[in-house]
Amino acid sequence: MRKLDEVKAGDELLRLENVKKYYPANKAVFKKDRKYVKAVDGISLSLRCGETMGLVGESGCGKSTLGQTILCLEKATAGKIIYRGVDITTLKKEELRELRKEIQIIFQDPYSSLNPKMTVGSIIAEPMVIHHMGSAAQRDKRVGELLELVGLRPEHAKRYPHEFSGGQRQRVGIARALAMDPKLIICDEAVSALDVSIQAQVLNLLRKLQKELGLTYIFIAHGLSIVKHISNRVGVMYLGKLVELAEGDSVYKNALHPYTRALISAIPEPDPEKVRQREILVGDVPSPVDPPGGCRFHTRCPHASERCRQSAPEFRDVGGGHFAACHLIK
Amino acid sequence: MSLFMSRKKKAENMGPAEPLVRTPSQQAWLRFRKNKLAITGAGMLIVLVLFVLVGCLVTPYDPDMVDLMAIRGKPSASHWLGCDDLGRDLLTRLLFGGRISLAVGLASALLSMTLGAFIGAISGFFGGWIDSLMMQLTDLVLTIPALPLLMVMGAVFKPSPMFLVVMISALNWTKTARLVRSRFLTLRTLDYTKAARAIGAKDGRIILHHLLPNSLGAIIVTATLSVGRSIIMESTLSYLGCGINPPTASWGNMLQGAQSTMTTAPLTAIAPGAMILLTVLAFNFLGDGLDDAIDPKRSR
Repeated sequence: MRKLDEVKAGDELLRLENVKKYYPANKAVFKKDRKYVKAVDGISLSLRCGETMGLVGESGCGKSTLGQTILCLEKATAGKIIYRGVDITTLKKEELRELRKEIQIIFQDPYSSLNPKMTVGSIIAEPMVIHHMGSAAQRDKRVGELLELVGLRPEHAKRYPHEFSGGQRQRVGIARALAMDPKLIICDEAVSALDVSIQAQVLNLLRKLQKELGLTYIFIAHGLSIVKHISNRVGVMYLGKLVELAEGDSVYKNALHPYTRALISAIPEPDPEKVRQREILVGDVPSPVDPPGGCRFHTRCPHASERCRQSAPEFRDVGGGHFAACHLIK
Repeated sequence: MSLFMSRKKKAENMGPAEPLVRTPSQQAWLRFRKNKLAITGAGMLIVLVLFVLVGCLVTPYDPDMVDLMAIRGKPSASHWLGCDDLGRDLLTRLLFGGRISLAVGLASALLSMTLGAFIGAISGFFGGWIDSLMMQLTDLVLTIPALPLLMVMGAVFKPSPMFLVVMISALNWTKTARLVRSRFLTLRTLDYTKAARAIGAKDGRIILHHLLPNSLGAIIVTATLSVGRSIIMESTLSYLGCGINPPTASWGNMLQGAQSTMTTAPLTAIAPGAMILLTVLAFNFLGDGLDDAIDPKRSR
C-alpha cells in the first residue's frame, strides 16, 4: 500500500475533490440515449482529523451514496477522494483491503447490519480474522474489551444478534467498526432507526469514543436536530450537491441558503409559547435523473428569480468558512 | 435422606441461572418439534429406513433366489408377503429394492443440491454476464424433456445406480439454482454483506460465511422435497425398463414385474406401490415441515 501521511488532530484527514457517482438509469445501446441517476454530483469538502462533520438532506439527496463512495464500496464515477495524501479511488484491490482498517461504517438498520447466523463475538472478531490480527485468544480478549467499551458485557459475545434490542445491536455494530482501530468512521444514519431515548445514549457513546480514541466522524442524518448535538461542522445536501457548509452553530444561527432555513424551521420546538416561523417547502424533490437546470433548488425555492432558473450558483465562501451556493447571498 | 441433601446442595451450587441462549438452529428445532406434519414425516422416514436397513440384515432369503415351489405363492408364515412370478420372496425384494431406491433418491438429492447451490451462488453473487450465462443454461436444462432423454440414455448405457444418480441430478439442479440465486440477490444488498465488504472480506468469505449460511434453510427444504422427486424419477425409469435392471430389485422394476401377476397376486403390485407412495409422502411432509420451522415468517 502506498504510504499514508502521518496526521495529528487538526490536520486534514480526508479531502473530496468534485466527487461524482452516477448510476445508469437505463440500458440504452447508444451513448447519447443513456441516462444516469446523478446520486452524487460534484462534492468537494475537506475533513480535519478529530472533527465530526454532519451531512444532512432529504431522502434521495445522495448522502448515503456519498458515504459508501468514500468507503469505496461504490466506485466513484469521477473526482478524487484523498485520504491521508493518497487518492483512494485509484487503489488496487489488495491496497483497498488494507485501507479498510482505516475507514469504517456504522449502518442505519441495526437489524440487517448483523448476520443473524453469527454470534456477536464472531461478528466483532471477523475484521481481525480477515486481517490476521492476533491469535484466537488475543482476539477473544479484544472482543471482550470492545464489548465493554461500547457498554455491553464480555459474556454477550456468545449470544446471537436476535437476543438484543435495537440499541444494543447498534452497539455491536459500533464495536465491529472499532475492531481495527479505524481513524474515520462514517455513521450512515446510525441512530435514525432507534427510539429517541436510545438515540441519546448511542450519540453519547459515539462522543465518548471520539474523545477516547481520537476518531473522526462523518455523521449522515436526514434531519438537522440529531446532527446539531454531535457535529463541529454541518453540510447540507440537496440533489447530489452541497448547498451549505458551515462551522459549529452558524448553520443554525445564521443559515443562508433557503433550503437550510426550511430544514431548520422543521426542527420540532418543545416550547409551545414560542412563536415559530415555519417555512414549509412545497412539492417533491425533483428526479436526480433530470435535475432542474440553473440552481437545483429553484423549483421549490420561495425566493427563486429568473437568474436562479438560468445559471447554477457557485458554492463559495461567503465569509469565515461559511460556504453556500445561492445567488441571493451578497 | 442423602439423596435429598445432595439435591439441595446442587441447587445451591448452581448460582444465578444462566440466561437461556438459543442459537437460530435450536429455535428452528423447537418449531420443528411442534410441527405435526414434520414430525409425522420424520417418524415415517425413520421407520421406513430402519425397516429397510434392518430387514435386509435379518431376512433369511436372498432377494434373487428363485424358489420354483413358491411361484406366485400366497402370503404364509415362511413368505410373509408371498412370492412373485419367479418364486422370489416379495418382502425380501421389497427391502433390497428399498435400499436401492432410497440410496438413489438421497444421493441424487444431495448431488443436485450441491450442483444447484454452486451454480445459483455464483450466479446471484457475481451477477452480470456470469448470471445471464448461468441462467440461460438453467433455462436450457429446464426445456430438456427429462423422460425421453433418460430413456434413451438408459437404453444405450445399461445404467448402474451411480449413473442414474448423475443423470437425475443433472436434470434436477435447476430448482435449487434458481432458489439460491434469488436468495443471494436479496442477501447481497443487505447491510451485513456491505459491512463484510467494508471490513475487507473477500468474495469467497462473503459467500461462505454470510450468504450461504443464511440460504441454507431454503436449500435444505428444496433438497428434502427433491428426494421424493428423485425416487419417483428412478421408479418411473425402472418401471419403463431404463433404470435399475432386473434381477437387481428396485421398487420401480418390481412394479413392472407385477404387471403379469397383478390380478392373481395383487400384493406384488400393491407392496412396492405403497412403499413408493409412503416414502415420497414422508419426504414431502418433512420438507414442508422444515420449511415452516426454518423460516416461520415466510409465507409459502
